[in-house]
Amino acid sequence: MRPPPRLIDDPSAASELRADLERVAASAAPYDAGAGLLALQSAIAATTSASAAPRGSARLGSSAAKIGAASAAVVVLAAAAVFAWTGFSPPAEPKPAATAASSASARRSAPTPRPPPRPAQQLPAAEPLAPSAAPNAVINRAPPPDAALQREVAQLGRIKQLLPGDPQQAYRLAQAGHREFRAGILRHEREGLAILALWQLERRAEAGRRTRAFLARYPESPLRERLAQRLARTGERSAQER
Amino acid sequence: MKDGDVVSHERQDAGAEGRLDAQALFRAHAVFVASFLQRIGTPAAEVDDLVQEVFLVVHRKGGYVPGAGRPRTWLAAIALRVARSGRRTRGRRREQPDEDALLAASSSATPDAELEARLALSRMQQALAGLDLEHRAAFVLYELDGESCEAIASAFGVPIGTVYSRLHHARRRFSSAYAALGGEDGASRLRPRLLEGT
Repeated sequence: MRPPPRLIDDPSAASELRADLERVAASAAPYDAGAGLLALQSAIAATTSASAAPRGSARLGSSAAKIGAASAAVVVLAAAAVFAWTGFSPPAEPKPAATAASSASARRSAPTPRPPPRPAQQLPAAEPLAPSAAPNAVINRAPPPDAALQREVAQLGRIKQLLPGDPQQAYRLAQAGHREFRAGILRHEREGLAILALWQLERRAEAGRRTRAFLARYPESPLRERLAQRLARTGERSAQER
Repeated sequence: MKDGDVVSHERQDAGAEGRLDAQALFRAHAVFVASFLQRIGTPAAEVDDLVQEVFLVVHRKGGYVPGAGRPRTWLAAIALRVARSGRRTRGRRREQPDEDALLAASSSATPDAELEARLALSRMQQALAGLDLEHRAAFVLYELDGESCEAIASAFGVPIGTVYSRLHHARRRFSSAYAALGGEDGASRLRPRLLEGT
């Protein structure tokens, strides 16, 4: 038995049907992966804390997780502002999600204007989750928002600001960001800006190499088209020079 | 939701090499899982939570180990079970195309293309609504995501003949239901309501 031809490729299928399938296949759900990842990390941390807590402290562990989730929400809100400002796809509906259920109830109780559809995005390479603090160490005071993420968001905005007029400094800052925020969640965006800076600096070999790696790693990046065009233009120029 | 029926499937070898943990899988495939759930008819308001549920199940399973299908089809199999559990919990009260999804769907570049993508998703959801979830999943993975029948069979733990059979049945029902929608007429009925929300 052989697999059937796909309807999209089947000339005997109705053309409207094939066109609809192509449209749906080419689109993606407008899922806010940045906020979702933070929610998942909070939920995993809560699970880990709960399983590590001694009997009787589970309720306290749950409270700690909620506090941690609230902190994450504050950081996500800050990130949303910078994303919008920098022109990247914004995480428009931050989720204070210690658990899936709590994220749902939070959204239902606080309706927000519907965000415009966003390009699908992929996130940077996996980094290990930081070990969870012991529940009792957390419940005495609310932990500060993720200071590292706040710095990372601010730095990304600075890179974006520098890029048009000072690509050298923008590139240096992006590279410094890669070193400083090894576990950061904005590597994808930062690497895109670093590559754009390289193109502006006419460092074509490195820019080309990193563009190809970027396109392979983040095929759904909002920067994909811009970088691919840049790479194609360089290829054409090289061919003409030969 | 009870996840025993989800977690009990495919226990993985904790020491295997090439393992991908839940966060790595999330970074690479969260959008795919969200799109898969949306395409098989999950109401838009529930997609975010079900995506979280899927990756929490992945975390509890210890991540993905090569061998249980490809990561995407393996995740789709988990997503299908999570979606099915969610449906059992809430009942089958929403089998119509989800207009929230219509308003939220698509990453198309222009407003016209975006609207067309939303309408296409609506028509597809309507045409799939009469199928059970297993048939929808096989159809979506094969027709829209370009997965092979072998990968689908491996991830869902069924013989490849079962995948062929599900595809055959799903394509026949889908094509028939799609034709009954009336093509552009169906789009025309939905267009004004969509424009209200944009």
